[in-house]
Amino acid sequence: MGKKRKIPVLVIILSSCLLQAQDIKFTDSGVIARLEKYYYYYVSQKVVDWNSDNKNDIIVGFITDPIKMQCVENVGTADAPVFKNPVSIPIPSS
Amino acid sequence: MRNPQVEDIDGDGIKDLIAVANSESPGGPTINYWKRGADGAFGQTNIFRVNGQNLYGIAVAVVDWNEDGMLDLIVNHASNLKLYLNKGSKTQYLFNAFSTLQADGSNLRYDSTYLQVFDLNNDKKKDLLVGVKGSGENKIYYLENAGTNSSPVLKQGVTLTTSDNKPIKPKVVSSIYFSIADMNNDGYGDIILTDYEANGTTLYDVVFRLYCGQPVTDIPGKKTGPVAPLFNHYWDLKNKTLFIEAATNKNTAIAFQVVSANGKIVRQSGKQPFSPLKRKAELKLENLKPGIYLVRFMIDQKGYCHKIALTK
Repeated sequence: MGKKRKIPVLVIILSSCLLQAQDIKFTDSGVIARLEKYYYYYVSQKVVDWNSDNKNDIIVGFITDPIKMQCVENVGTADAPVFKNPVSIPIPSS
Repeated sequence: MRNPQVEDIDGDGIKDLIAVANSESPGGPTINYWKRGADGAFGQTNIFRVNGQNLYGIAVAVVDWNEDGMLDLIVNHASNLKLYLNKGSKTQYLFNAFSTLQADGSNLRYDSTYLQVFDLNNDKKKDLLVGVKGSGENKIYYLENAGTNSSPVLKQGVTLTTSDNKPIKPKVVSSIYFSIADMNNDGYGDIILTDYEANGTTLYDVVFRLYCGQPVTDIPGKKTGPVAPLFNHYWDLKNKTLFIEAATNKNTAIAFQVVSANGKIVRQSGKQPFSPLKRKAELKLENLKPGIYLVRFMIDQKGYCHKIALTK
């Protein structure tokens, strides 16, 4: 008779969200931008499928330039995103 | 530009861009938009108007709040969260007036720098998340929708916290910018937060921090009970591959074993990288006889086991 194996019991609870942290890395620089103090206070972003490839990309807005916006494209997959370095979104100045 | 939003505001099937302007006109920053053409190019800068007047605010969310098929605006102006319902059409907006959003019957007043409407508690109803700035008080508030999708009724905001009940907030002291989306395709909302790191010069590295959503027994901001890792498995029959998914809080690696009913290890994977953004591992199971097997793996120093039935 072999030894009886003790098997941990797994309980799956599906209800809501809990949040944990890690940094998002970009393929080259690792950071979204390098800015002077106060300017970095106002870097905002929106996650959206910008290029309609069914994967989340990130649109970034900066206060350093009145019309500066960038897109960070997801070159990974939908469940394991890999983000390229940001590229500018060409918005007319007027 | 701040608070970028991407929505089809003119009903042509192409996503347009909306953002809060930087410039401080006498009335404050305006809410701007740029229509995007079929060639991807943006048109001129426009300002949203209400009764012919520029629309001002420091934060905006563009959403069909009352589910009438038209995009509405939620704007933070002078710390009031104002709802502008679209009375026009899908192709041409018309905003005449606003109402102040309420929670538990009281007007919502937040010095918010970011707003987002998102179903955070997975109850199929839109909730509201508000980023609130203040000296040392930067927080994200979660306002659960106790009403319906077409007629939301918001509950009082609770501070969004991490699993150890610490508020989610950046080092930045005068603003808070975040975005919520399901970043790892696991069905739970994740949060990206703007933060910074000093890099030894006069410049600072702007970083995005990701807070991955996981299943819990209670809503965010409230004390939670013990949390079990999410475990899921599925087959790719064509390639005879078993995939397992599990939740983790950190970058790690897992190996897993497939054990037969008599306790013999019949398949074993090598170590595969695991992180909050990569929560799936795979193992080829070709030439395995139909039967009942156990899948075992260790993650975050805990062992797990799941029974699977392999059929022809």
